[in-house]
Amino acid sequence: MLALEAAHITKSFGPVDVLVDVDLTLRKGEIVGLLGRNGAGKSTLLKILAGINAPDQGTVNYNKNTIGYMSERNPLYPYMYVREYLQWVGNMKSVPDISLRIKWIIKHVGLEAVQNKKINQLSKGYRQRLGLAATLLPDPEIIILDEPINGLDPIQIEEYRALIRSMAHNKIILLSSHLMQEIEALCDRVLLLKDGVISEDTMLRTNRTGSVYQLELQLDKSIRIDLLANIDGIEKVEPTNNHRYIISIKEGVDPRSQIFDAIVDNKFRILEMTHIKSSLSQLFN
Amino acid sequence: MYHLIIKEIKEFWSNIFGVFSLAILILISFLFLWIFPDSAYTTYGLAETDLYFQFMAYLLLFVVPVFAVGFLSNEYKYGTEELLRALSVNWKKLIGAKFIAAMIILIFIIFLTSVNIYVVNDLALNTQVFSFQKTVVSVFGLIGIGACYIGISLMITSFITQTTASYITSVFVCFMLYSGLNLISGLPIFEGGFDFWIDRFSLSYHSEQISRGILRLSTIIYILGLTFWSLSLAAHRLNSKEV
Repeated sequence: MLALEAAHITKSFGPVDVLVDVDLTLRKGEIVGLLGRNGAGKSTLLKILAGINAPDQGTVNYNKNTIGYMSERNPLYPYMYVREYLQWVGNMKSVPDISLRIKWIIKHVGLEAVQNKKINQLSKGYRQRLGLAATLLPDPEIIILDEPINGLDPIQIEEYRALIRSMAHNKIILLSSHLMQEIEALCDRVLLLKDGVISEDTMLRTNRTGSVYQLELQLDKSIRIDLLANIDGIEKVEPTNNHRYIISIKEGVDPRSQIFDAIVDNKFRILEMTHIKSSLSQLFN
Repeated sequence: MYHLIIKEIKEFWSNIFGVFSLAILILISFLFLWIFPDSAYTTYGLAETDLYFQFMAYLLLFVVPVFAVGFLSNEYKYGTEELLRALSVNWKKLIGAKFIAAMIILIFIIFLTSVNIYVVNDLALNTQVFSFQKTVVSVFGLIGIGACYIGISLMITSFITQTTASYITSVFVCFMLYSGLNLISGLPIFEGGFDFWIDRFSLSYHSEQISRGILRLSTIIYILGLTFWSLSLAAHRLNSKEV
């Protein structure tokens, strides 16, 4: 099974230990988000995993030719044309059927409008798209993206998410972002990098087909769990404290009206119902 | 390798500064060889190509670092070192490609200015003066000297990322190798001692030999050794650098 394994990764810049004994395993089919404050070492870790820089200690097991890496700076050659650049990247990576592949990638990344333009004439959003297109052009098995949505507008972000999701089933995708909502919207798993170590490694969803999100419910008094647990789409109901319940729901289903009816029909009052989005914020803080 | 070389050559032609430097080189060579009385053929009346080769060796000292430094410093400027690493480009291959691309431009420059050789030969009253063999040796020697400049410029730029500082340092080191060692050998402290050897290590010594059509084994070893050493150091430096 395709996997990227890193063991005991340590990296220092002068007296500063940026990464300390980081262990990591990424598996096929996962979209993994890497979160961390500025200067936490996210880019350093991604560069080491992509084989751009070497760690002081530790190993990364992978075939470098199977990795596609897009850096935060998204470097491009400004004097080249969009198609010419993709052609050059394809030649450098010996991509088979390169013309067809370029045509496909231009269409799927949304570069049709600028495909004959010079790179130095592109807007930030299109430059970002081009960087992504060049990364995906060789159809890498492992995709590492450092802050990939920088400079994209909301529509472009949605398109980019759809593209990433469409590729996720047979690839490993690791991306960093300083936007928690971006990680929550896209990733199955989140890694929190803090003080040079991965302090949290949390599954946000069970898997891509059976994803789960959660609601937090507060009632005026305690309710029988089965009244909620029997509603279609609800996977689990966990009582917490003070008449509060965490309800895990399959993604793609919205049983909020049924929950509301079940509660009202049984003479309970809803004091609060919220979509749990704060889990990453809590981790982050 | 081929795609890297093509990229470099395209980059050179897309850069107005590189093309401008070529135009300036041709203009300067024309002015010095034909107009300015202190150096012009018309002043001395000798239809010999030595002057062209010596002058070109000196002029290339200033022009070669313009594009050789640019080849590497532009990678820093665009941040494309990361991209090259992500594309699994080996640094030896990269330096090799940049060197070959610079050599192609150098040969193109020499080709452009070689019109001087043709004109001098055409102006000669006695056509026996022109020696084809000597000219070929001189052209190869000039290419060799240019190769040294390219190697040194790439090596300096692998250490100094700032373009202007890198260019000035490259010109200085090339100048020291070309004329500096020759001038140092003339200092009284070296008289009757090391002066002979110091002079032998200057490019101007080899350049002078080449301009006369003399290509010694020591010159070949000197040029190849200096170029190879510079390129190896540049590749080693880039390989050990964090991006």
